[in-house]
Amino acid sequence: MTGGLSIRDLSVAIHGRTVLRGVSLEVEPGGVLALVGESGSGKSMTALAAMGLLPPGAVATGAVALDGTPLLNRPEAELVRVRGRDIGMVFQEPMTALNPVRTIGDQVAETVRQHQAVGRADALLLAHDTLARVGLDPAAIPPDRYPHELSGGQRQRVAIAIAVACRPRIILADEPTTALDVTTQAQVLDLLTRLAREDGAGLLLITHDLALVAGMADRIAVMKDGAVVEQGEALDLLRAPQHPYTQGLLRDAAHLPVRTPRPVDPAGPLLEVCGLVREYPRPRPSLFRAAPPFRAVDGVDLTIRRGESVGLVGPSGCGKSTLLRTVLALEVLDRGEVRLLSRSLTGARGADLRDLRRRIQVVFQDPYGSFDPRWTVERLVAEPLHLLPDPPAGAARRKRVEAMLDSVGLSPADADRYPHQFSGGQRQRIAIARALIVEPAVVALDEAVSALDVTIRARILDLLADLADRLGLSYLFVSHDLAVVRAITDRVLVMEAGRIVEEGPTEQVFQAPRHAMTRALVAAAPSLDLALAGRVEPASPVAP
Amino acid sequence: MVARTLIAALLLLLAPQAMAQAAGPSVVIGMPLEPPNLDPTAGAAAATDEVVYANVFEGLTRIRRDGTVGPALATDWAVSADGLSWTFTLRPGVRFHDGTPFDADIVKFSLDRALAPDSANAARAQIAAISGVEVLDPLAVRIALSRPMADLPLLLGWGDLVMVAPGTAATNATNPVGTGPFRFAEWRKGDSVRLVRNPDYWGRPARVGQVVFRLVADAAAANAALLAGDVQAFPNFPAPETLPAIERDARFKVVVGSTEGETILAINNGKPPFDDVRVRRALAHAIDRRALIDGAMSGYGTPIGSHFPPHHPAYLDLTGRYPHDPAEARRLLAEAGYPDGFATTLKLPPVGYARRGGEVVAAQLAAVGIRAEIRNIEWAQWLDQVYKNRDYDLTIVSHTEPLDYDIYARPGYYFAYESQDFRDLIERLSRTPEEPGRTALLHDIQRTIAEDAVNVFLFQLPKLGVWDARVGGLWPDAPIQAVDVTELTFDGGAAAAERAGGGAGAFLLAPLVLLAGLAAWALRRHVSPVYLAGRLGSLALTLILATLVVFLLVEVLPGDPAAVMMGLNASPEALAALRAEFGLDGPIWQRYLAWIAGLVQGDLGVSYTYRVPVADLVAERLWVSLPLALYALVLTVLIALPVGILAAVQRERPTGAVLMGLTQVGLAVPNFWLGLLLVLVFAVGLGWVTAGGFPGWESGIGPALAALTLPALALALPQASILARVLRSALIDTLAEDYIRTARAKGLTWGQTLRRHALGNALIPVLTILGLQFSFLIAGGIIIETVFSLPGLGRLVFQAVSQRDLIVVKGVVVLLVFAVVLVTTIVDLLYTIADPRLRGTGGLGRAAA
Amino acid sequence: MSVDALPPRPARAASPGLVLGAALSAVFVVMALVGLVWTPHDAAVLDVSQRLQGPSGAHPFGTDHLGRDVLSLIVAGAWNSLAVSLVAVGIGIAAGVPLGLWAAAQGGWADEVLGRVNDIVFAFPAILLAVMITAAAGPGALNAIVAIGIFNIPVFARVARGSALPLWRREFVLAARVAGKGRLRISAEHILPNISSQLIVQGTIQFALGILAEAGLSYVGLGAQPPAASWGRMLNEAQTFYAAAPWLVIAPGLAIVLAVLGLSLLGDAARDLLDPRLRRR
Repeated sequence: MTGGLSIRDLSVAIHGRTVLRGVSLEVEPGGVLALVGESGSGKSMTALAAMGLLPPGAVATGAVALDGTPLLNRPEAELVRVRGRDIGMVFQEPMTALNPVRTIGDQVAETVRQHQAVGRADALLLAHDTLARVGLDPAAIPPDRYPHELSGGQRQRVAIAIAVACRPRIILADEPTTALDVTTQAQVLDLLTRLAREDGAGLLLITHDLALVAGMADRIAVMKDGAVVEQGEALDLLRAPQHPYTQGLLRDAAHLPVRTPRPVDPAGPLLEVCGLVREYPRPRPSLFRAAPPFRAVDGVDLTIRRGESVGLVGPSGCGKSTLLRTVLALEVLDRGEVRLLSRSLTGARGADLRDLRRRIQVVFQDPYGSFDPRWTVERLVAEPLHLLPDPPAGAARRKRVEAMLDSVGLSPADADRYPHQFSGGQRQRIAIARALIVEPAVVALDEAVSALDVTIRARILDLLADLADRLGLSYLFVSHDLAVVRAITDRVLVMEAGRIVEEGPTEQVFQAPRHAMTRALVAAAPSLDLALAGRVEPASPVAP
Repeated sequence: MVARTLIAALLLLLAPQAMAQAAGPSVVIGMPLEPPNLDPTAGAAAATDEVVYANVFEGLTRIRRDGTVGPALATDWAVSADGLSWTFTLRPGVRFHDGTPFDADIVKFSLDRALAPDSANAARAQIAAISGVEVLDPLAVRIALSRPMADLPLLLGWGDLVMVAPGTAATNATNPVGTGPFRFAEWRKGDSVRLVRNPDYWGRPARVGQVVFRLVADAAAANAALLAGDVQAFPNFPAPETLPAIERDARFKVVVGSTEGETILAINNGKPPFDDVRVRRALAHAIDRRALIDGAMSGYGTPIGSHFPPHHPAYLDLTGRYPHDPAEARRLLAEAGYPDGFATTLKLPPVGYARRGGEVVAAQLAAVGIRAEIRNIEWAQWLDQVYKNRDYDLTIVSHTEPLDYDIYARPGYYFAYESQDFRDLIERLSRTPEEPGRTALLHDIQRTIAEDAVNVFLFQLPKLGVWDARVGGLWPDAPIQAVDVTELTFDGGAAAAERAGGGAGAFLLAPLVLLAGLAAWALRRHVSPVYLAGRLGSLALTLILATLVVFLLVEVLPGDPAAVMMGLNASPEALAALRAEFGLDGPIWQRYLAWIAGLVQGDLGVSYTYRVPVADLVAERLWVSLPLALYALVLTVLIALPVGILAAVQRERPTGAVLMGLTQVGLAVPNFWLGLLLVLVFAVGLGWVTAGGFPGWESGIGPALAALTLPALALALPQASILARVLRSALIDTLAEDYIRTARAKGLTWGQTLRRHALGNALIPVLTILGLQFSFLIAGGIIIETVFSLPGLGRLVFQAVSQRDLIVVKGVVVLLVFAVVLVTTIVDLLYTIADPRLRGTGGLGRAAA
Repeated sequence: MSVDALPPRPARAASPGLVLGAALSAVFVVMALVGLVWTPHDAAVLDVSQRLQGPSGAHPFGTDHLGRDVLSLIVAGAWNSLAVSLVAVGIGIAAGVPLGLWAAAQGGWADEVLGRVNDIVFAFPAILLAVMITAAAGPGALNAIVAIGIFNIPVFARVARGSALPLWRREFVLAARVAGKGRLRISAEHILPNISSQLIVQGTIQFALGILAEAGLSYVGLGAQPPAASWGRMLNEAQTFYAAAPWLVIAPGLAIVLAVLGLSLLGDAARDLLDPRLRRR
């Protein structure tokens, strides 16, 4: 039996429902195994089974061993000695993975004290070093900070510090970057692989994004429906996938919607944003001094012409969403003006505002939160009809909703169902139908495909491209995902700290980024092609 | 360092204050009503006389236990032939408790004071015929009258006309100084008045060293206190229904005597249909006195047929005049034009005989077709609505003044009985001081009001004396409203030692303020001054709005506090004098501003009824309510923590389900019922603790805490159920958090994870509830304090409301509101310890934005 | 939900809490309604000769000090408890929910003002307000309703606001705003239906608490007045008879406990059924 983590024929059932069937994986010391699959495929469950942290009611069979020591179904007293010392784990959600009421140093030191006979001061010293090692310079971010004082990326570094503090032999990372923005994603992944290689630890990297791991995994295993459908050396698997599911995944990841180039209407801008400023008050630093307000959007100009799709990219917190909400007149603006069809949206009221609103509609990110769970699809899709001066009712409304559902690829009968009866992709189609039912000129898409699995994302992008062609729509596409923006927009604006720092035709910006922010974004964006191109020889330092 | 100083100050405040104790046996006497003040010359409150009459204060004459007049500070008296001049010879060698010698000047001062135009003396009208008091020599005075008064010696024996010294007359309300065998020692408002033996008494010294009059308002509490041995004697026991059981108990003696109280169903004779004598007679026929006495008084009480006491030699038994005869009642009603009866109202003051009797009366009236709607009202409202404004149809009340048939002759009296014949009879009686003829006139008087059926005469109120078998010397009857303890004996050796202590002071909320200071100090590194300023600002705003609400609510209360204080027979002038004294006649906004200005300086005003600063009253009560609330809070936490944690950890197992079931039941149990059951089991059944009352902190921490244990438990159990449930669900929520998984992945055991990561976070919602609960516990004590006879803020406010002591009501409510807001603020500050996300920011939810 | 979606726990059969709560509540409500038209004995009829009879066939819970049948009084008193607390909850919902919705929709100063007013009402110990109201207007069931009702207002305002606030940040509400709907209309169409389960749960709990509060007020003589039957007042009247007639203390107390227990069990069960968080897990 080899060293590292060995999972053999692992099956797990929860309350009688099978979630894992016969999973076998090997994580070698110093090697990186990427476990890829869509949500619900059983990736996380595999990691939890390895840690002995399955939820109550789970029954596991098979074998899990670390350096030959069996772990599966061992007594808790044995497992607590292994967890944290021999196996470190990093979870997906850095915002909630840390105890909010204890300092970060304390939380790192706790791992050390749990497994090593050291005093409190020594443990804190070790925590100090570990935090430095994961890139949290104690001079800048002292260990007595609380989690809420850190950014998402910094918190994930703390979580990693907790996982590696005892220099474990195996690190399990469960979607460690999904909640982070694109530039931070790359840094965190680099950090994880670097640490694993430095310590000679095995890294099991769980992800739904094949492109993300293509560049750094030694081996890749693909999971679907609780089983591993294919695994092998990373390059081999990526270049010549055997299983149809893997083939489909690779195809969809690289998928670009077909878009017919359209002439840009010369007749003036459709949407025009000039000098937009949006400020928020900050808490007073002292009794007698007011803090200067926080400028979420700082003098932004933006223009969309008819038939044009414009992308807006930037790291999270840069002000994209605020800008979008302000453009949609969901938030008041402090300065500047938004003009739609050469009419001012900023000052519009009553019927005028309603008429303008129907020209610009929106599709949100979260396919679960976008719908009132108590409403039928018919009522949901018909809601914006309220904006029409003479909204159709009864059969007319029904007919219009059915037509709309048909054009987004749903069946007319779906009008009578409730949102929870649909999958994530179908819901996003309903959201698109709702946006389009009043025949707007501009559709704003707020991270509209970010929460979707890669296959579904490809279908939705196709749909959006198709609709734009058929209906002559313009898109304002807000996303942190450059691949998507690149695929669907003509022009792109890059935002940083409330300002637009770069603007230009999409291809040009991506090919030759000028601003540092843009360069960082482009460099960090996971790309399968780039990854494959970069890996001319096997990256694994371990001799086969 | 700062913390240590603060804690030291706190301890100092909590330290009991030692009190001297008098030698000799000590007897605790229960009384149903607390005296509003201790000056018998300043009002007609019976409770005042009950405590101080003959015990502390003496008059020229005194009423003896058989109702006759005997000498007191006057050894002898004589009347001139024309009846217009009385000469009193005074007892030599008498001194007041403060050493002031008693002489003829004192007599002149006392009587002139009672007669003065601005006098608040309730007997002023009765002695209006006194035209002058003349000092003949140091031991003789002459009283001149404008008309003959055969009953002057009797009047001078009343409590209203006791002798007071000029130097102490003004302060007698709170510190009575008289010539009697007992000196005033201490008054603990809402709890007790303590008298100690006067060693320098001119006559036979008292046989007991100390007498404590303790307020036990509630019938149930009285019963419990007696059984528990907290009280040795109840001269007027408020729970007649328990007498049969007590009579069988050899430890106690039950003495049923007579009072001067004629209990009547009073009728508004001026209001249709009651202006028709046939209707009034129908009422009389409708009432079954026997059933009424059984139902309301458990059989105690003598039926009467007119307004006259059965023990009087001139009594005429007229109970047969209107036998219980519903058919006759219906016939009379039909004759009067009400064949189907009519609807009316029955207003009942808050005394047992009226409240219970009212239900029986209403049911008996209903049997003849008269639908009487019962309205329970407070004494103040009764005085205001019924007595003063005649705004009533029917009411039940006992007239306890001796030989008060003259009220039927008073014009404008609340019966609205205007009979010239009757007035002539009274006039003739006043001209017939002696036999022959007086008895015949008294018979005519009884017959006339019975014939006119002015009221329905129900029964003579019995004096239900209940006392420890070892107690002797108490009066069996009550010819006047007095509890004469001058001949009291007690051979029980060590009776329940009653000590008292006064924690009075201006430190109203000192402990809470100190706590807040402590919290602020502990948080000095965590809380930004901006946040603190914000909290303090909102605290101030809340307080200002709250004072406004309290003031407006309290100022619209009906009832005239002056009338309540002065009692039934107060004159309008006296009322006006009192109103002026308390500034009740200013415009509302002025009163509000004055009140607020006082509040800011820690001055809550002066109580109407007690005539002492409200701040002192409240401070005393705070030493019961605050420890009770804290004790209950500690119990709540001690019970809730293990239960909540266990229920969360074992939530999938039977243990968890059982615990949750128990907390469900705990939530559903009313705390006062729990209190009753606890008393039933632990005090009455097992006799482990006393049934009620509070021995005071100076009797030691142990006994005091023991007295608070059952009330605290009754308060804590329902709250602990709530807290345990909150803790459980918070813990379950926390256990589902991602960081719990992180902790488990570190290799922490389940228990370590629970302790280090789950509990701290689960504590945050628990703190919110705990903050709210402290407020509930302070306020929720109101009912519990009633159940257990504890002299706390709750009892104070209830009493104050019923006495219309507006200033006390305002003070207590504002104080409680202040306490609640303060506790909320402290909890808010504690949040920042529990949750670092709140530190330095202005509020919640901004943290992870 | 970072873990791959867990399969839902198998739906449990109706919990014992739900069954017991529903049964007790049903008994309580039925008793209250039946008591309006029929009681085993006439609860208003006094028969002093039959006073303080122990439990027997004719009087399962005995008779009180005026010879009334205790069971009949309890049945008749149920209506008082039901009516007072139900109307008080109604007052709380009618005034509190619009306030809470308004504060959540408006935010800013409106929210601030409501919060402040809520704090003040919460700062008044309920019993004190009741004491002041009854002292001003005289005791009676109506004043008990008002006093308890006023306390329900901030409770419901808080629940409505607290439940509505996160909804205002939900995307379906943003979508409705993009669809041009005003705050009022969104509150009515989207927010209210989506907080209804929380309101139902809170309503049940406040109903139970209302019964307790009414009993407390009646116990101290501020609630329902005779001849209306009331559980709290029965306890007050029974206090001095506990040695001679313990059933007088025990029977009404048990009635209160069982009614409150039933409703709070029902409320808890409803919370478990309706709470979206629990549902999703």
